Amino acid sequence: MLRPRPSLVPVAALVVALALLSISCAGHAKPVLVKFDASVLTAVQTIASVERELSSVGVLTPAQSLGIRLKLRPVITLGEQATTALLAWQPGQQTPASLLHLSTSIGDLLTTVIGMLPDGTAKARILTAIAAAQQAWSAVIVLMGDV
Amino acid sequence: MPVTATDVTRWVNALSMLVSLGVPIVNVVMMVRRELSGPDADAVLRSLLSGWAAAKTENDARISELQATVKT
Repeated sequence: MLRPRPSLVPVAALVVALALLSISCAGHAKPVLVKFDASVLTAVQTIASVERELSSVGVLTPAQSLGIRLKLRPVITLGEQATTALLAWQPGQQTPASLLHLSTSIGDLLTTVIGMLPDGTAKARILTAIAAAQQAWSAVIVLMGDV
Repeated sequence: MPVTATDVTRWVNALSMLVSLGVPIVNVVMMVRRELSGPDADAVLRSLLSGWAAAKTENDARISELQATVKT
């Protein structure tokens, strides 16, 4: 079996140490950002589902439903952009701008959609989904403070 | 899975070989990071990307449907 030259062993050890150090950061940072992304997608899917349900029983008019769906469109576009950016993202880099915009847009969406819906189980489902996204965003803020 | 001392020794030996063969250190670091970090987060992201694409398709179809209803 080939044996490494002794002079290269410290270099290789340093490479391993650097890689492990960076992995410890990577192992912590990316899942936090991914969790936020996933929670926003869940919130969007919940809003879409609730819109269909309330529309089918006549609680929402077609115009109101259309209003909600048009508000969802930019959030979905940002969600796709943020996810693509996260795939290329490496620990140590700045948090992707599209992820920051996604956070703002989900807050705006909450204000709009909640104002349009009557109180009840459907509204509570949306509030729960958006609260989960906001909680995930809090973890991102903590992470940004650490980076 | 925790990294053991034996694993690190194997990595050091393997990397020493690569460096002695003239592979740039930067490439070696990137390779180690890729191998150790695993595909989990990126696999989830690819799944999320599909989810976002499906949400977009569903939302656009629903908008078209509602716009047709509102017009009539």
